[in-house]
Amino acid sequence: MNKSVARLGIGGPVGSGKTALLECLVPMLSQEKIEVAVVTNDLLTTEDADRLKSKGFLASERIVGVQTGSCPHTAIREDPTMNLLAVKDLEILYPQLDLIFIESGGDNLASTFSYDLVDAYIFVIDVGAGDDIPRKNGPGFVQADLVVVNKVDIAPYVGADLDLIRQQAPQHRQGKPIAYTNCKTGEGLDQVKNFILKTLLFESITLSS
Amino acid sequence: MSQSQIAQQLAMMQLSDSFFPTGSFTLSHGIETLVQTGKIQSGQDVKKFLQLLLLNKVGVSDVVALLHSHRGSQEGNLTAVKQADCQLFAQTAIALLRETQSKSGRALLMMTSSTWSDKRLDVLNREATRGEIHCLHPVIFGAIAPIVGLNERDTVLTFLHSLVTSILGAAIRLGVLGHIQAQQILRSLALDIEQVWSTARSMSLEQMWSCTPSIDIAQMQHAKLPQRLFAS
Repeated sequence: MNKSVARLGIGGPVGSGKTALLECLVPMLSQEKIEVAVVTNDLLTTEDADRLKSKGFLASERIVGVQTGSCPHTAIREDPTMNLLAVKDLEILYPQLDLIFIESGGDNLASTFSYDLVDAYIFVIDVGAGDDIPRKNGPGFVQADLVVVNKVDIAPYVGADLDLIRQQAPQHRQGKPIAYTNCKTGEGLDQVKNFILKTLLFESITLSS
Repeated sequence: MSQSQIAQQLAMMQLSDSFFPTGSFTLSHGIETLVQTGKIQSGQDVKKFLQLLLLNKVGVSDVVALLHSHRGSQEGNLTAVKQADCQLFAQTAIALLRETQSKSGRALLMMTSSTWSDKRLDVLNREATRGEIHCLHPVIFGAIAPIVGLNERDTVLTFLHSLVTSILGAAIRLGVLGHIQAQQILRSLALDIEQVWSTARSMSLEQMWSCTPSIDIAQMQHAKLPQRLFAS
């Protein structure tokens, strides 16, 4: 299969902040003149696709919803053909695209992406799910090219020890990158953006002092 | 059993396996609407649904187009494949069904082209890219089957097994069927599947018909369901 546009998967449990992350990243990348489109995988409704469309930062035709037949992990791993067709159609409609996001429907820690579908993927967890998530060694958490630990601001309110997460997560990630984010304030998002620019788009990053 | 027969048997198993990725797990073929509206509530209802679909719709329409496509592909006759595609498209009244059949067909063509190599696949891909063929799933299935070594009978059996297991899988996920009951129903449909093969093999494209009003209406209503697990 010939790949052209870079493809980045966004996976992770329900409510971890995948859509919120996209809502932050798309305008940031657009400011860098990166042409973006999004394929969302909706479990029951078109809620995620509609939410992104309502923000207005992308033409609604560049946001495609794919229904996954109640199997979100199948749609990104064992049988990603419907996602591949959506990607192919976007590439034909918008040949100037640089990057296509494929947002998985919320799933569990075992969900991973097929590398026949994506070039890399981000796994999003949030501190509200507990500070023991890194220790559970879920394949999605361990194997993802980047892990985003989101909602760091609410850790004190949910009894999650953020210092423990910061200490244990790298041990289970075996050197692979981790970003700690707050999508409400933008904390940590530059690291995610730079990961995309460097890893998928091969752009050199100029670090600000 | 000779080596070529083993290769054929393995190709048959590969194509009929739910593991072969064509997006079929996203389709309920109307059963989701019928479950949500209370018209399908038990294993017995699921079996009746499948029998109606096999004998009054798929078996006298999709399978006929599949066989004509198979014959065309076997002879290297793309025109015959396109004729089957056009006829089935014209007789598929439901817009959503045409759309999902086309997506499934494109997915099947994509996967087959990645797995097998044949000039006929290159031609089909070219025609699909140009929009010269609708790529309806039964037609593409029929077209690729001789390429992977399946005869007409095995193609029909593979197609129908794949369809029935896909629908039974949807019924399990919708909560109207258990996994053991699903296997029992699958086994009990052997005679119906045999009847489909027996009838469809001698039908012409002009003789294609279907009469499943409840299922058709359910498929039409699917897009309006407030919550949907499936694409159709």
